[in-house]
Amino acid sequence: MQKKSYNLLFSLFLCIALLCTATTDGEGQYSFKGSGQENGFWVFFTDKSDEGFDPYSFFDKKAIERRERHGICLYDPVDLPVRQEYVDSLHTLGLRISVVSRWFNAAHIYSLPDMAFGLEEMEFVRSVSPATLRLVPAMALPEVDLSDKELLKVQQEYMGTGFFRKNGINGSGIRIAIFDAGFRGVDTHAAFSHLNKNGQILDTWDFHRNRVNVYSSSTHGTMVLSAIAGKSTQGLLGPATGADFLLARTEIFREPLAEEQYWLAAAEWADRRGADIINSSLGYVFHRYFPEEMDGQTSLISRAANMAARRGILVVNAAGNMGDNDKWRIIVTPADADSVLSVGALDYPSMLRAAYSSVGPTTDGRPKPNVSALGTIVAAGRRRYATPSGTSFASPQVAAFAACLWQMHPSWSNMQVFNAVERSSTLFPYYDYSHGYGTPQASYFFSDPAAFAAPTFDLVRHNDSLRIVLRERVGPGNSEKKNEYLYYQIRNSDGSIESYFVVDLEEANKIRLNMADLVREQQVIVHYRGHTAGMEVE
Amino acid sequence: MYNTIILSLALLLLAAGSKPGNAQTVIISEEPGTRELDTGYGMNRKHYSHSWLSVDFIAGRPDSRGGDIRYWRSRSLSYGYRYKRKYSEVFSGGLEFLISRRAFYPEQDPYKMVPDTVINDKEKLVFLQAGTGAYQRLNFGRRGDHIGSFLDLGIYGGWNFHVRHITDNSLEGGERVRVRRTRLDYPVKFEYGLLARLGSGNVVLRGTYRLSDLFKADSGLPELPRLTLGLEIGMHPF
Repeated sequence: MQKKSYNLLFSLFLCIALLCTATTDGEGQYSFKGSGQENGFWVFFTDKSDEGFDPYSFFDKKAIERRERHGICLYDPVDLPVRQEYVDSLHTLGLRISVVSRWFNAAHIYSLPDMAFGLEEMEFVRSVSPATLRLVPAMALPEVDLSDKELLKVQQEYMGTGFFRKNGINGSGIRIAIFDAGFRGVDTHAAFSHLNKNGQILDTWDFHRNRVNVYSSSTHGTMVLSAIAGKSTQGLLGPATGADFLLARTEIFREPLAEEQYWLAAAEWADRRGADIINSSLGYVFHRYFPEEMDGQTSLISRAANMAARRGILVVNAAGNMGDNDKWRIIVTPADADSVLSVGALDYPSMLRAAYSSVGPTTDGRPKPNVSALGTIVAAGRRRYATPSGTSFASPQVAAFAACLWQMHPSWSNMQVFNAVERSSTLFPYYDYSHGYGTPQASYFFSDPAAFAAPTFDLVRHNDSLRIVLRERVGPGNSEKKNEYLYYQIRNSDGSIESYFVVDLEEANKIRLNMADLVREQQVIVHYRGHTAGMEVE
Repeated sequence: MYNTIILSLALLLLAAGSKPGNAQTVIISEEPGTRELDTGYGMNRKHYSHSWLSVDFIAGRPDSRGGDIRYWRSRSLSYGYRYKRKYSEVFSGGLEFLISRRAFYPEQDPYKMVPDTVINDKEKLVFLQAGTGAYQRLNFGRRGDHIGSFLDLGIYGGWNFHVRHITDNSLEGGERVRVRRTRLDYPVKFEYGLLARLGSGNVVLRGTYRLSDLFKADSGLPELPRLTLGLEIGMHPF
């Protein structure tokens, strides 16, 4: 027995040693050779052909209008379909193809690694790379009665969307695509009866099951749609009740292993069908990525989101719910993409960053999130109503806001709407990595801008200190009641924020900051009640 | 009374003399400029460690019928702490330390030989063990900072620091007698074997095969089943 044991042990160690020797070729290097496992790969093709391409039959009329409005060539090579003979060639090899992308001129296949990389030998294949991604949407909560009237009232008023309503603005003429895990109950719930009755849900597609029906699987998308365009007996759940919708199921289930190709395919699908806005309450994190990869370039989905933005679509994405995860904390992808309007979540009633809301900056130092909205809302659930929480539900509120704004200014480009949403926000031009520019305000577009510029404090330099002196004395508990906090930050000469603070002023009329610790060219920027001012260290 | 007036006056003076307007509470304080990402430690980083819990059921056949046990009831519960060192995207390896409680319930039949031939109403042989293990891990598929799917192959060794034999019988009068024997002379102190695990995220299917004998050669006792199959839960975030 003992001798037999030693032989077995020796054999095992020999195997392990051989394996180690064969593979310790540096961290991050890996090989699939011999793994025998079928994986997802993107096969990128060499060229496209515009032969027989007619944009007027390929695209929806709205997509043509959007391109013309943004000055995008209707024969842009990016929009040309992938050459069918290339796709057919892959089919002939017996490969399973899940998505064909015209934007990336690529096909997503499932294959053994050896075979996939072997395709690089074919003359029409530019490169092959492993597909990456998984996603993490938010959680659903038990359904409730429509009894949380206080929260609903705040939800209806805090962005000033009443201004839109009073002026007959409801997102009419704007086409919003929603990518989510499922829209269970949208076809039956009273909150969406106006959308169903008026035929405002123009198209649907389940990218996982390749079918039209998206009204199953999850109520996550239901609640997201509710935050954009839902109605209840207590008033509107979302302001863009007049918008048209494209609903895409791109997730498999709540905490699923989903593939990025669904998101990309849905973006191209939405583009072709004339979407003006994409709301994506999805975040892709640790399953496939490391936090240092949140640079807006590493993930294919970020590049796809930027590609959609370049085609004139406003992409609104949840910042992510990783803010209270010490190992991650920062923004998730594709909210890290340059041209994506990333939305953080605010806690209720403090109206400061919710603990779970991911913070910026991106790992390459770009400021994110862009704006913030309420993270807990009243939303239509499967049959009744729910109060879900997460950046997933902050994002659609901003998408709805943008739809209303775009209806007011139909000639604006997507980036003009993007910038206007930022500019209208409560903290603008002050910015921090928790709240972005704050919460968008519809009143900005209906009021005299001068009203926002009235100074509320003075900065007084005194020896090594900087005094922030309020022009109006704050009463006890005032800031908490009115959510009128004082925000200040130390900004470096390159524009990055070294540190930032939010202070609740209790019976205070001045704050003293010690500037002795600051270095030359750093700036102190202060915001209080709509007024922002700064001072540079000399 | 006099003291109260003096104290009140002092408080009034203090209140009057204090500068108004300095009460404030910092609600949010962030220093992104000093935030550093720990890229060396994490589930798919160079180093990672976590605890785990497992239940393993004794499986396989004994050396002879004298070593038959009651399956399902015979099992071990373990708690361990595992260190993982990543070599590459596919390969990693590591060490672990564990404590476990393993109970064998001998079959009470005429063939019974372990630890004796006496038939009891209830009987178990309990091993408390402190052990260690080494393993080599193969990960499947690309992943981010995530444990992912894996196959572990390795070895383990353990010190049976406490072994007890417990019997429970009812006498003719209905009285129950429970006998607990320790300092047994037939179990071996140290054991070792092979381990294999197949896991995805927190959930791991595991098996061990004991190479060493459980009882001393001169005890004449047949060996109990060497194989265990079980379930492990990794105590890490995802």
